[in-house]
Amino acid sequence: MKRGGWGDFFATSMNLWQYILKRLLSTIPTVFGALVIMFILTRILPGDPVLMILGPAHSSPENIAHMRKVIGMDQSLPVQFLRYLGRLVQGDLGYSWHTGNPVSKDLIMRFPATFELTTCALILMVFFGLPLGVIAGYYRNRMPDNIINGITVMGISMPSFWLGLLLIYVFFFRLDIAPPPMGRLSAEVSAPPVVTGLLLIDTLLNRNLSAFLSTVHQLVLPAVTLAFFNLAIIVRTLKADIIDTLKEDFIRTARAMGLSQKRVLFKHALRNALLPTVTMLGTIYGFLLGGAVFTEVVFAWPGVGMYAVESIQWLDYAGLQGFIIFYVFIFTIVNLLVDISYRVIDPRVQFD
Amino acid sequence: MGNRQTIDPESLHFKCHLFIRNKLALVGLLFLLFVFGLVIFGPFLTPYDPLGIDFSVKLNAPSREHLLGTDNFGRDLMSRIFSGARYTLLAAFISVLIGLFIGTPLGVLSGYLGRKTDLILMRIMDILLAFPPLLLAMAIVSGLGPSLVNASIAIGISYIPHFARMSRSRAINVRSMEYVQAAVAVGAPTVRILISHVLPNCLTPIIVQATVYTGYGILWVAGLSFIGLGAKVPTPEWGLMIAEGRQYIISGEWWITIFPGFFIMLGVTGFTLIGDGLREVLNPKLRVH
Repeated sequence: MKRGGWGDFFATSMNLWQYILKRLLSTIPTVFGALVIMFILTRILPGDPVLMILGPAHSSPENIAHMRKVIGMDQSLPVQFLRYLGRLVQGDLGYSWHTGNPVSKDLIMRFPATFELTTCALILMVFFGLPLGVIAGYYRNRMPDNIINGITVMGISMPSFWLGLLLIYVFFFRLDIAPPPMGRLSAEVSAPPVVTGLLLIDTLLNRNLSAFLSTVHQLVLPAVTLAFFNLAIIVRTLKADIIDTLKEDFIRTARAMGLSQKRVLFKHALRNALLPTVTMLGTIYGFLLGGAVFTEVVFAWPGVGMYAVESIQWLDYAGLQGFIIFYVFIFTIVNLLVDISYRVIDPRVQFD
Repeated sequence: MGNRQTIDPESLHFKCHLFIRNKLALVGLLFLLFVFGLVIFGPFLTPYDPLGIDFSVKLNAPSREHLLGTDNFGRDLMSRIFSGARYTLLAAFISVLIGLFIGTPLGVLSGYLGRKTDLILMRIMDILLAFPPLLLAMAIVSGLGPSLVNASIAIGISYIPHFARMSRSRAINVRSMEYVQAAVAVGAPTVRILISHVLPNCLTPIIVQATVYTGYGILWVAGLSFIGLGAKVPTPEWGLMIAEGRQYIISGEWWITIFPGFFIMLGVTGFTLIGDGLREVLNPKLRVH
């Protein structure tokens, strides 16, 4: 068969679509299972939600029976579950009573802040993690590796919220070069009109340089905090792959041809060791989203993690559970995208 | 020739030798001994009542009277940290025990029996794994209500699939070994094969994992308490102490948050280093000669 023609292209892209479809279908049991768990948990909640809504003053038997009917709790559990699913499909996550808004609206409003923070942290991680991983792999069990190992072990051994507080103390209180840890924008700068919700982009679209700089200024400490805690994953994965890759024939060939050590390492070895690290990105992003909960609290960052913690403090379970479902949703999508892009980048990789 | 002493790489003596040679693991051991000392003797070493409020000394910096300073209620931080070791550490242990005692049998069964048991069990584990631990803990605590015990149960449940996967892969390896086949051939009951042949072979990686996960457990316990899903005030739990002192960091009262965090780090580093050391000792492939 002739290779490289249109037929070939379509065959490949057909496989890709089939793969995407298959991959999508495979997420269904996971998401469904997650929803079942969430549903069961809401039903074993201590305390009757009806009583919580009505309050002690209005809890006459008639009122309770009426309220039960209104929120559908007089139905059997399977019926309740189906209704719950129906509401979820419509994007209805219930009402948050500490903000007075629909939970889905709250989450969508706050997600850009979290997205900006986690993305910047991811960029920082990759920027520092790649060279550190390569160096650690190259100098395996020697001084540089030990130092890098020490740094990463420190990173995973300290609570991220504690690191954040430490950084605030040093850079805000002592050295006074960081802004007060109060959200995304300094109080002296007026916020740009919302276009994307990402302040880094919105301020630039608005050609407001001072607001842009303030955004960057506010972002540095939280992003560093979040990145440092997760640095170990990227460094360790990459290090293991570099060690394996350096044993390969083509590295020996490259060295035999007299290429410089730097070139061999960063061009040939890194490129070949990178793929397993790329597959980790989905997991890493999940960790970042989780870590963002702590970082956002410490830096009063108005993202979804902060929202979850506020919900906990207000005993607002609709808000908390909405956050969890939102998180599982985002996590699933990110993993899906990573897997698909992996497949697109390297067509040699065949998935079953 | 002939004079050279042969070393049995699997002997206990040699393993101890390797462990001692590994300086990092020794450092970890030291940290742990210290933290364990606090768990056992902590409440007897406290100069003050960990819950005793005294506003006349509130927010005092570390001094001779209060070596680690006092918090916003005038409570002595050293007393609080020392007596708080129990809460954080025990909660971390409970979570690992839950993961270990539920996850390992499930994994061994799943790997050894294979087929449908494996398929169903691993599907359930996949669902649990799809939840990042923090989320699972949040979901469970939102159902059971926030408390330190519920937080450790939640962390324990999130550990189950990890222990199950680890022991499953070992069980699959062992299943086809000759001595297991022989046991099957002579008609040994499955339960006995599992307990006396399959389980012992899973122990090595599981000990390492349990050690490392205890360290992470400390982080999770402290983290959940920090965001209000764990211990309640006025418990001197380390993560909760950081949460209570959080607002004072911007006015410069650093000791309230920095010291508890430092002890958390000590504990986590201890378990991580020991885990790494054990991994090297117990897994000959990782040894560097």
